[in-house]
Amino acid sequence: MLARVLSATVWGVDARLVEVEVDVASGLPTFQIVGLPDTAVQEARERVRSAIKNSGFFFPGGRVTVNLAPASLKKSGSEFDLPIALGVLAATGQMKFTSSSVVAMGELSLSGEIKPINGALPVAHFLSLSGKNYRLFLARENTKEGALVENLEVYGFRHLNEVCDFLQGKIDLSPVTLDRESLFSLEGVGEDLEEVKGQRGGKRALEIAAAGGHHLLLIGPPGSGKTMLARRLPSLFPPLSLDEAIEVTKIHSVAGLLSEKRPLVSQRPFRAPHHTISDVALIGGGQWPRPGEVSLAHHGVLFLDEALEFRRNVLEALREPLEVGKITVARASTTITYPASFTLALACNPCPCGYLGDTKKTCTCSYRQIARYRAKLSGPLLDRIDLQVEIPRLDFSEIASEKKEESSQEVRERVKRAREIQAERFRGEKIRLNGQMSARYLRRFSSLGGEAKKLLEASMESLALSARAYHRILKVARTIADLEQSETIRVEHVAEAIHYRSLDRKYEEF
Amino acid sequence: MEDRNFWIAFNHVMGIGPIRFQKLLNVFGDAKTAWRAGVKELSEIIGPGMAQKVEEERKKIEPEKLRERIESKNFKVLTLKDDFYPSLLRNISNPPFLLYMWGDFDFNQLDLFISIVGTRRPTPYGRKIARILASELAKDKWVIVSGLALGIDGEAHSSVVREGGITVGVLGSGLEVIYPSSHRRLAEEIVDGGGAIISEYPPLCPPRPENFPPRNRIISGLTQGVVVVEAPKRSGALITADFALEQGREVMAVPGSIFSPQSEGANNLIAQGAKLIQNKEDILEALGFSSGKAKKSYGEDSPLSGEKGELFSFIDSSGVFKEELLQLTGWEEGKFFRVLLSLELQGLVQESPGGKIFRL
Repeated sequence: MLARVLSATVWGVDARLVEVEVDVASGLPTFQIVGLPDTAVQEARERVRSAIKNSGFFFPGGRVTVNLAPASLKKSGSEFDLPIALGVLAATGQMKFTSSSVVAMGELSLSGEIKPINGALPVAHFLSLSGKNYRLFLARENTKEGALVENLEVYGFRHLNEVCDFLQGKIDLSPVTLDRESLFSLEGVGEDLEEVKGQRGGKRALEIAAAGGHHLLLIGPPGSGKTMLARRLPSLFPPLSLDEAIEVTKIHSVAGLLSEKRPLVSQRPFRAPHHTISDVALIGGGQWPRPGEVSLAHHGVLFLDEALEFRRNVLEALREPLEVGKITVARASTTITYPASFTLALACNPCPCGYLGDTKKTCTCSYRQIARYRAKLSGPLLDRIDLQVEIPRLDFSEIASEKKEESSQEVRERVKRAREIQAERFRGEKIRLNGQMSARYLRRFSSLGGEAKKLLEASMESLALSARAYHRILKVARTIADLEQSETIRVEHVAEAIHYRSLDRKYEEF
Repeated sequence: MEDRNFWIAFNHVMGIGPIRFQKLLNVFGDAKTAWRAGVKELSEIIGPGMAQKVEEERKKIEPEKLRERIESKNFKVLTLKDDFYPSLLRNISNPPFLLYMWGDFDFNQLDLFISIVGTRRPTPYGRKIARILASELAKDKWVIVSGLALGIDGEAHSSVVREGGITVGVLGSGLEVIYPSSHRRLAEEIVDGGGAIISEYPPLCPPRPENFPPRNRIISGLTQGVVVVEAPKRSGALITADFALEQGREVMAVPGSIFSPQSEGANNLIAQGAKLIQNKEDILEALGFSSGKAKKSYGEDSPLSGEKGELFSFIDSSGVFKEELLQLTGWEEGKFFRVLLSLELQGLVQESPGGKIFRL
């Protein structure tokens, strides 16, 4: 007898329906799964056999054939355990099952318990958009994730028996509902800028970065607070919209980073991979492509501490996502595109020994070593960094000062206003933020008045700024003007922007 | 003089310095005889280890070839016996018995020699002082002697070259191994300008760390006085000052901020009795050339007023972080950076890597 159960598989941050067909025929006892399954899917045979037996059913003695359609789509993972088991039970007549609206996903333990899987949200999202009235069956732990989307009935189960009882009408369950709004405000705001004492220059740079979508580099000795500052950058952005949050959550769902307690990523992500990370882990990939750190940082901040320690190919790999806001991973099996639009924050020491600009320790590097070190910092990647800020290490007296520091909330208000001005400016254009302006946009939106222009030209010459600094300064000056809600870019704005190009300056040759 | 070849040969044996060489001369009369003496005889004078070394080296060294090679490079050899050996240097307790010289310069034609030395990692303040003092002294026809090192030394040499004056660089390596190599160009300019690069080490000798302290005795020995411009607590410039004191030369130092580690050594020298130098006239006075002219004062009141003057008053020569300045002024960023940039553009202050602003 033949049975049909619907399931689904994750595809990038999207999903595809998979039809699980189970045929039980007489013959020598075999259990075959066909339809491009990988090893994890093949192992379903053992799990399903035991789970069925241990749930009080019998496993058929004849030929059991499972087909996962479409056969052209590669399938991986353990999410097909549940639909296969349901198919076997239906095909052997142990359970009546004819519904074509049920989509089941879940891993089975040998005792028949249902375990959570990765990627429930993308599947739920896909089903809700399909317009058909699907009912999604998930492990109990996955239900909150699945219930995030509207227009979809999601049911959670603990055990195979529970699913059977429900399908037979022996028990009554209602679909899981979720108060998305309350979930949205569930998470605290995270770390706040007011916890950082002093560091006015660094905070100001964060504000500009958040307002204009500029990538930034923090240069400072160990212990100066680079990481502390960078961690607070996400709190300065406007909060995620629900759609953005779902987008981010989908990526985290695929990567298996969600928990029952935290089914929705409602805060902008902050990802800080260690410098030993491989390029695949950073940009995504693997035989079955998984999202990398750049995608996990989507709509948030990717922070690379000790930026110079990262392998060169790893840093180079960042160029595509920085350019287009997404990353396409091509593998022999498939090509998948993940979103990857993030603000890049780099941090590094100011010199080889690390203590240049430290008030407590003296730097032991020669000027030549410093010059060589700084030259290493510049390069194609640094070309995309608009803000370069030196973070000195402060005296303790300053850190302990009782002065009330500005909170993230206050800064966020200014950022919001600056972003509104930009939204107005770029209406009908392809870009949204000053940080994305190309030379063409700069000519249109960031031209300088007489005095400001004179100042910039004089500075280019006497500070020996490199040519590439010119456009960066214009971009940043535009954002600074926007923060002050000034239509024209004034001398002050240019002067400040020039000070965020410390690596482009030619310091006196020693 | 055929004996020169053997002077050169002995100079190529590592470990034969002025003292051992003098002992050999005293016993054998000339270098040629010493070169050909038996190991046993040698070991009685310079010890068995050293004698063995000479024995090994003389198997490899052909004195005639050495001289030919040096001549082909256009280097000159100055021995203690030569008239053109620098007369000031001859008077120190252990003058090098031989100097290699690149350049066309006669030490004994001129009589005003002074050395300007200092740290390899100066602040913009130290650089400025070296620049001012070196070029003003060069204008007055002084020959500036220094060590061709990075930092103050290089600044002093290049200021003299710019002024069209004469300057002498004393190396701690051989003449063919200019160290630091980035000063190769500067060395050429010094020679082209009528100055010289000298060294007591064989032309191919690498810059060994132990070469530098003895090198410093030549710098001070060649001159009437040593001016230390910026030296931290442990600095080669202080060794030069010690030699100067030993050799009876005038020791002078330019004071710096007590917050600047780069001036700690120079300030200590002044505390120990070195002449405090505020301008060129102070140097001349210390050396006994009272010009009678009014002394130049660099500490004039800041011509700046208003916001520029206010910001400028917080910046000193040992450097202040932008972060600190923001706090000291209490200004908002726009105004702060506008005023700071205009000071920079006027050449009054300078930013250095690390985010510090220095007064120039």
